[in-house]
Amino acid sequence: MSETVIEVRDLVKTYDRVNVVDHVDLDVGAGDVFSLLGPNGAGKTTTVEILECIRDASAGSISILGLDISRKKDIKNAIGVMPQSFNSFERLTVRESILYFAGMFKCKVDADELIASVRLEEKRDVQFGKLSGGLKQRVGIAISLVNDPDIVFLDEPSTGLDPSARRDVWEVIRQLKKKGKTVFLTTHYMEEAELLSDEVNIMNRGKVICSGSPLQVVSQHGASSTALVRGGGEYALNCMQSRFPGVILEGDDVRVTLDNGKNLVEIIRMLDDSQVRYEEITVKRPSLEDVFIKLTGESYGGGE
Amino acid sequence: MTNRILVDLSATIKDFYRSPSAMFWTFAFPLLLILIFGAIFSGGGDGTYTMYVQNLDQNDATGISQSFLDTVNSTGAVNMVMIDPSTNLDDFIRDNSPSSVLIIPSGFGMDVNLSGDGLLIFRMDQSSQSAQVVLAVINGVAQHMNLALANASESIGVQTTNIINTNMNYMDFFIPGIIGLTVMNNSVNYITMVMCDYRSRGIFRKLKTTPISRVEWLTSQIIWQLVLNFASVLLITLVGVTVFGMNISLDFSFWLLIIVGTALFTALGMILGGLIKNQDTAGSVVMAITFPMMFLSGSFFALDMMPDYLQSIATVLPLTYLNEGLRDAMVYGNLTNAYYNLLVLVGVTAVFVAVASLTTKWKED
Ligand SMILES: Nc1ncnc2c1ncn2[C@@H]1O[C@H](COP(=O)(O)OP(=O)(O)OP(=O)(O)O)[C@@H](O)[C@H]1O
Ligand SMILES: [Mg+2]
Repeated sequence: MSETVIEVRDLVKTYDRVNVVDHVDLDVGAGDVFSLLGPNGAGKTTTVEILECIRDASAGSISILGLDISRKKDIKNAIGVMPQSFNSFERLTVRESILYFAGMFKCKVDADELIASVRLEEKRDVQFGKLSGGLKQRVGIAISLVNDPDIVFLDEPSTGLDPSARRDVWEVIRQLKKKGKTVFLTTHYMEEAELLSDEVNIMNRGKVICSGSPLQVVSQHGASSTALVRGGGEYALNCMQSRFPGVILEGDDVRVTLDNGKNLVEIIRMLDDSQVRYEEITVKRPSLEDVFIKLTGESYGGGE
Repeated sequence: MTNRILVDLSATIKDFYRSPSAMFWTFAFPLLLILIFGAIFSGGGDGTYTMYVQNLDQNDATGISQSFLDTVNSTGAVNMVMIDPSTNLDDFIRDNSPSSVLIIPSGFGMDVNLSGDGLLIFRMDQSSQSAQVVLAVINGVAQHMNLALANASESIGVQTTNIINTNMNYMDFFIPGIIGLTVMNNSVNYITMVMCDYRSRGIFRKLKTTPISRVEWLTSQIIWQLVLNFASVLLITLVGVTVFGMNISLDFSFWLLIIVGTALFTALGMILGGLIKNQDTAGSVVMAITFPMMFLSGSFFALDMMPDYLQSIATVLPLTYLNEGLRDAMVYGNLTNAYYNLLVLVGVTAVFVAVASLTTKWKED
């Protein structure tokens, strides 16, 4: 495992006597994309903003790049931040926005190179307020990079974007990883977390309820794969019920849990033998989203 | 440190001149007010009252009627307009709605000369202030002539001079009020809106993750407010002097008043922007505070024209002291009073700044 750049132990944040962050431990490896997942109000932003030194923890120990959290000045210089629903100055252009925040750090940046890295060359001199949502998020990411940080915190960078704009943001995040930056991401999109992350942590009501690589999490907490016999109806259900007690009817489809894929052949043979007619059989691997819903007990559409 | 302040300033300036509405409220709105009020109140132009006269005593051999009118004219207090003797007066009044008309009846001079009981007729609108003034002038002149005709000398003479050195007209009074108003509006509106806007955009949160400090940011904003206020104040003054022939002096106390006024109302805006999270609510609260102040602090009308209870409300409104101070400094040339008002403003500013530093936060926590 790579060197740890963020280490959080027993972090607690209390608002009105409620622990909105409740004894949280986190370990983020250098160069990893780390995703913090969780439903609305889980405590993601609170956690992230404590790490960004803009809120104070109630208890716990945090070290970032080997620096204790009390060394705010040094930490701020080494991290880049895009706050949740960040919008830059309405009437400054993309380039001016970037130069403004670079000026805050007193660092020389090649604004054009930064603009190119989020592929906004054509929008260089367009005012922020006139950009679409996806482009705005990319400007936000570019701004978070002005001080060439080692760790980049992106709080919900793809919320509210259309699928293609989201993919553009993913590409930017992949590029960050390629450059060796550690990315601390929060998101509501499980698909995104699964695709991008080296490590995911799922948070619910202030507690981290599971952690690991997406694969580990899914295999630890996920239900097994399922086969869906589409259009099989009552016949398919009756035919399989004796052998697979867990089988369920969903409308005209029949769902059956697979035992690591071993019994798929058996199912097909049973259906064939009984001459059950169906449209198709699809096998669905459990996804992070299934795990998420199972663990947080929420139906989840993603986004707000 | 200074570098960050300059960076923030230059961004603020760009944001400002690219915002038509900010430009309008800062520069065009005060000018509109001046032009509108100027048109309403200084209709006469030279600030004197119009006196309509119909002289029916055309064949006056004594010359008394004419010399009466000449004396009235020589006071310079009224601007005499003669009505042709052949005009039907009722028609004239209906057509021109004068607030008063002086009629010199035929044979007036003879009556005075022979029997000493000449009678002038003054038709007036009792509710009109200017009619009252004209009446006072006529009475004064009549008194004077009575004494002269009786060969008595005036034992008591009143020499009237203006209250202030220069000739004050309504615009002289009005323009300092507009300056005070503009300083208030610019500062309170601007800073409240900026704070709400930055909070909802996450700009404060973002700034919190950079090395800029709250003090640096505030310094930049205050400098910008001063620049803006100086610019709009100069523009207003320029229009006041060139269009309305204002007589003013912009001395040291004037600039101090602008600076302290800016600080005071910026601090007030910060308190509002810090306490009220929602931009729309903030806008309404700013309106609810500034709008009554516009009318109750003597921006448009002299305070002593208002009922007593409103006058006592005015004494607790900071804008009152700014307006009074500005008039003392610009128009009356009364520096003692100007500095007294300044002192009151400094006190209020200190309180507001203290409160603002408690309520202004960049972070949630
Ligand atoms: N300043 C605050 N004062 C009081 N309560 C707060 C404060 N900030 C956050 N909370 C509460 O803490 C809880 C966690 O909020 P947080 O913003 O961290 O959630 P989140 O996981 O980021 O949610 P979302 O997905 O909606 O962004 C919420 O219940 C919220 O109401
Ligand atoms: Mg959040």
